[in-house]
Amino acid sequence: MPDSFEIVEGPATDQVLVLRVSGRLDSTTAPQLAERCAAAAESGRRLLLNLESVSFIASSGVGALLATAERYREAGSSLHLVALSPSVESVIRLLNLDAFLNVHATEAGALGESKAA
Amino acid sequence: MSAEPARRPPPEDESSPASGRASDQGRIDHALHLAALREHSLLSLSELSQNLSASPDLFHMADLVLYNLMGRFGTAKAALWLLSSGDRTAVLIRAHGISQSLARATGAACEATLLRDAAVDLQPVPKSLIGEVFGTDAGILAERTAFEVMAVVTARETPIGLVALGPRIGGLDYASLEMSSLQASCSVLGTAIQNLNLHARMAGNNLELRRANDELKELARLKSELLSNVSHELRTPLTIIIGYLELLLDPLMSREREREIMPIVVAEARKLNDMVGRLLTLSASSQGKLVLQMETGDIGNSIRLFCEERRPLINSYLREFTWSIEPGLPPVRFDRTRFMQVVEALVENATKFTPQGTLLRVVVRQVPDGARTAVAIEVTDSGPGIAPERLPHVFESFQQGDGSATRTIGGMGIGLSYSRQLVEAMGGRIEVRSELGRGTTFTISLAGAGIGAPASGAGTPSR
Repeated sequence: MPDSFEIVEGPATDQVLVLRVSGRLDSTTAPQLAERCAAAAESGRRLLLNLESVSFIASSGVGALLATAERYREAGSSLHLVALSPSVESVIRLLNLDAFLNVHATEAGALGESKAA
Repeated sequence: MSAEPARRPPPEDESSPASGRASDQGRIDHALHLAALREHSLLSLSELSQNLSASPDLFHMADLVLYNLMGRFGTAKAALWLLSSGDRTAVLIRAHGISQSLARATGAACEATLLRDAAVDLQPVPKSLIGEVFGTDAGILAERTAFEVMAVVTARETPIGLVALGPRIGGLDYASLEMSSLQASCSVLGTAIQNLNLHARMAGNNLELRRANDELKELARLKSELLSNVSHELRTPLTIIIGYLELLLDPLMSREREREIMPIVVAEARKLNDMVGRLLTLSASSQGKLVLQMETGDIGNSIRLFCEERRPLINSYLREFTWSIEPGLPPVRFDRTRFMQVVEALVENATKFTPQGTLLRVVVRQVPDGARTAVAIEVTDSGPGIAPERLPHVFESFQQGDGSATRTIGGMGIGLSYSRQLVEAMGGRIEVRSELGRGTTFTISLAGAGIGAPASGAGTPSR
């Protein structure tokens, strides 16, 4: 599992933007993720965050995801989380956030749903 | 691990052994779930404590603490306000999940309570008590913003801000453990902000110190330059005096020759005396110790006497020297001795910086000065003039163009700087006009003292 933080843009359409995140989501990197996602909110597209390669998520990482999800919701759009690693999934489920954060197993699944949404 | 919300314990059904085992399992799962939540909360608090101190600025810190709290409790709404140190108003630093204007209004509504001493003892306030603790307006706004809890941020027993959090998304409560965790976080935040302020102040102080140091170095450089220039300048008349005095030691010198030499020696000695006097004046005025002997009187006569006395000398420098003093000048307030030092400095300036054959003229006349009358003393030369880029700096100390001691024209360069200080100390103004290739005019203005103003010779401390 990579430890260095990186955000890579995945295949995008004019409806959906995909960002693949890798490394640790902690107090250092969480604000960066939030900022990157906020910039994309202006485009009006839905956001898919693939967290498969996120090795660790601290509460600040969770907070950043929640803030982003709320921001997209207010903009009339939505945030979707895809392919959570076990450690990330356990935190999200612990706090009952899966519904709010639109958790999906795969990108395809998320894309299918977000098109329908 | 079950995903059931923490506050709903499993249903109890004691009718069968199977259901008894199920409820036991449910209680175990519930306990494990609670334990996991507590662990998450503790790790979150630990993360906050460790990372806040590394925060470079207030806004980064705000993001950190709000994301941390949002992630700890699972809420999408949070805000942080800090009391500004100046006017003690609640300033919104960051808000997530609510409109900025609503957030600002909420902060303003809570201000009054925050400013009370009792605020430092406040525990985190649940929604039901926000109106009671922070006031009706705050209660109403909390409803609109859907804040569930508000906690005071303190540093050194003083309230410095406020944190508010929205409802927990997973349907969980802010129970007592969550409130303690929140309060601990506010305390950690308060300390971190305090450290940031101290740090900023230190950095500010360091910058001040460095600037002061640079200034001191520049002053030291100017001082040593001045000292070397001054010693050079003082030497010139001294050399002449010593030279002629040595000649006078010759027992065979004729009385006639002696009578030729003596006036020169006296003149040079006077020049030396003037230089020293000017240096002392400059030193005194720069230390704020200048004491003027102000009087009210006629300036014209002093200037006339000065010009008549100086004419032979100036003419010997091959300058054409003329003057015009308007009759019936109004009396002015001035320190006679010092003022004449200024006039002398200006005339000497004009003499030194113009080539042979230059015209030099002093004019004293009345000029209107708003509703009153002033007396203007103009010293004009038809010399090379001063370059426009140097004109604004002409009255600064030690500036003659280039500051090096190898100037082609001698002079201490202090005359103009202390001239301005003296004139301004007397309540007057000094200005310069110049045109390259045409000449320069220095003008001193002294306000008319008005009819019937008493002439006083008493020492008047100035500055």
